[in-house]
Amino acid sequence: MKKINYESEVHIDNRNFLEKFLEKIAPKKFEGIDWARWKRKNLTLGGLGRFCWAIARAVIIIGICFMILYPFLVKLIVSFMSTNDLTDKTVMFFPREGSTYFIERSIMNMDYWTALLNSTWLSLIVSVFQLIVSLLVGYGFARFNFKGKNILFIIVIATLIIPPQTIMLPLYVRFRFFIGSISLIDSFWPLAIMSATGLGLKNGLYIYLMRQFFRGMPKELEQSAYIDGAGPFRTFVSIMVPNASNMMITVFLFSFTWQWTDTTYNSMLMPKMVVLSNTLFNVTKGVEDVLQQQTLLDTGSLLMVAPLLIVFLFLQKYFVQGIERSGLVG
Amino acid sequence: MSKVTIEKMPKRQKVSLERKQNLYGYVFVLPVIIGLALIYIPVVVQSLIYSFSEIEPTSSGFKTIFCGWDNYYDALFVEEGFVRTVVESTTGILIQIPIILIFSFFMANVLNQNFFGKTFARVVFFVPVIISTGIIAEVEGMSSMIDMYSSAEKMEIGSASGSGNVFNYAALANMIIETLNNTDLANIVLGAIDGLYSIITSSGVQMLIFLSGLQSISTSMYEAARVEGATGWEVFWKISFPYVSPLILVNTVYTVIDQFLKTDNLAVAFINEKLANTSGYAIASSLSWIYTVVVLVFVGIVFLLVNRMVIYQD
Repeated sequence: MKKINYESEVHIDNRNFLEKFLEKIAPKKFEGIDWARWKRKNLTLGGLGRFCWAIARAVIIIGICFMILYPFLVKLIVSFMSTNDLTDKTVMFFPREGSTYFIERSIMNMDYWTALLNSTWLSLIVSVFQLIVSLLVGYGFARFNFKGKNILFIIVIATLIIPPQTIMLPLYVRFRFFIGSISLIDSFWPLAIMSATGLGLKNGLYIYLMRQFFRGMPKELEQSAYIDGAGPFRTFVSIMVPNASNMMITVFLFSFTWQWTDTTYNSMLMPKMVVLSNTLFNVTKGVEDVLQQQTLLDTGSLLMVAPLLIVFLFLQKYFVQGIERSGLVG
Repeated sequence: MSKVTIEKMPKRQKVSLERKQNLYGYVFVLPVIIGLALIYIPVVVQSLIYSFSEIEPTSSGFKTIFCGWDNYYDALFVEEGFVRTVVESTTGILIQIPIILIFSFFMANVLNQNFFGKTFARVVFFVPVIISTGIIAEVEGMSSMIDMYSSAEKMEIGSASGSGNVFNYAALANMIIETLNNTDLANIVLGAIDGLYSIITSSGVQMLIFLSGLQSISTSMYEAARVEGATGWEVFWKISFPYVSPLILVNTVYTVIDQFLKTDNLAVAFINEKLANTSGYAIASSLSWIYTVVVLVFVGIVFLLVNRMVIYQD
């Protein structure tokens, strides 16, 4: 049966320029809208305020996005310049000749591919260990009441507050003479051991995040598992961990990237390892010109950050979700 | 008789089950217990011993000779610059804390609204969380130093728009100087932009935490307020703000720790410089202990101050 719509015909006659314009730019959004009501609602002082706020918000957001992205764009452009482009006064943003000289040079100086592989391994090992430890310990702190829990938690938070420099020297000695005279310096072992025992970089923060997350989960979930006869570990592995997947991705992303760019532990515990955060300082090797040094540094840091950006782009959806649903409040 | 035992039995069993469950807690936190007991606490104690002794490197570690408070005396009165550096960076942090908190809270509120390109904006806003830490922050610092070196050279060339100025907003800076045609004003604007950039890059995590808090407020709360005729301003102060106020504490403490410990902090750089060669080891451990005490005291004061302002729900 055909539906005769008298009302819409009447309204089409009354549409003014603004309404037509709005329907034209966003036809879906303004489909079947009651224009009389829309006018009452939006063509008022409050509506004007909302409109002004929308403009101001757009300016703020675009401005800040620009500020964040601008250094990357500049680095990207500069890295494709030739040496002549750098000194050419007429070249403002876009290289005239263009070359991959700086990219090749920094790849060579940084020993990029080896360092990339090593950095990936190191960050993977560390972040997987940190993730497992923060899951276990966070759950332990969130759900069990054992003696000395509060003191232990305070100490864990204290490891976050005490500067790494304070323990750096004895830590070096600890791993330099690990058992007898066996040295673990310049290997992945020190960081692997530290992250497996919850002492890695910012590990206290991840434990805190996980604890808050598990505290926000309903207790009924576990109780029903216990009634079904599952032990604490079974419950943890098959019920709690799958529910924490977004938070896990957040923690993984934090620990992976912060390990990737870390220099505090790397410079002391593995000064000779070929990892990106060590070799980035070699990038200006054999170049005297200040301008070229600067360009090499820019190119090098861009090359170093590029894999992280790619990982972030893949995981960002889960990352933002994980934080939003983390239930950090409570 | 039999009735009593039947009543008692389940109760006793329940208590013991709960106790048994709680023992599992130790198993879950075992990694941290091992780490603290075998590595962290011995290392912290060792560091304290170092700070009270003269250190001599030997073939099997360091030989320590107890020398009392000498290192601390040197650190505070002989080692010029350290006290000044700590005071300077602490004042800087004191000024930055409220700015970072207000900015991240404001931006979290903005990002919590619905607008075109929300997802894109969120992704971009969290890029600094990932990127501007550790070595990248250091390199940015180095860049500005090299900039200073080369700025004299640039002036000689006299190129206002040479490609040498593309780094770090310099092209933008020149544009602003040219349009404003007033050096003083331009300097103020540039200073503001510079400050804003460092604030943006150091408030990413705080923004995330505030955003998560805002997301967890149920929409029915807002609806109820709107039905009662509350304005946006009232909704903000009566609902959003009280709800996220516990997170202000978390964020304040996080900001303090983050600002004190980041590698481009002047005091941290000072200690790192001392750690770079053997002769500075003894003084470095006393310096870092002084710094640790400063950080702990600062975190404690901030915690107590902010904790009084937090509105807890329960």
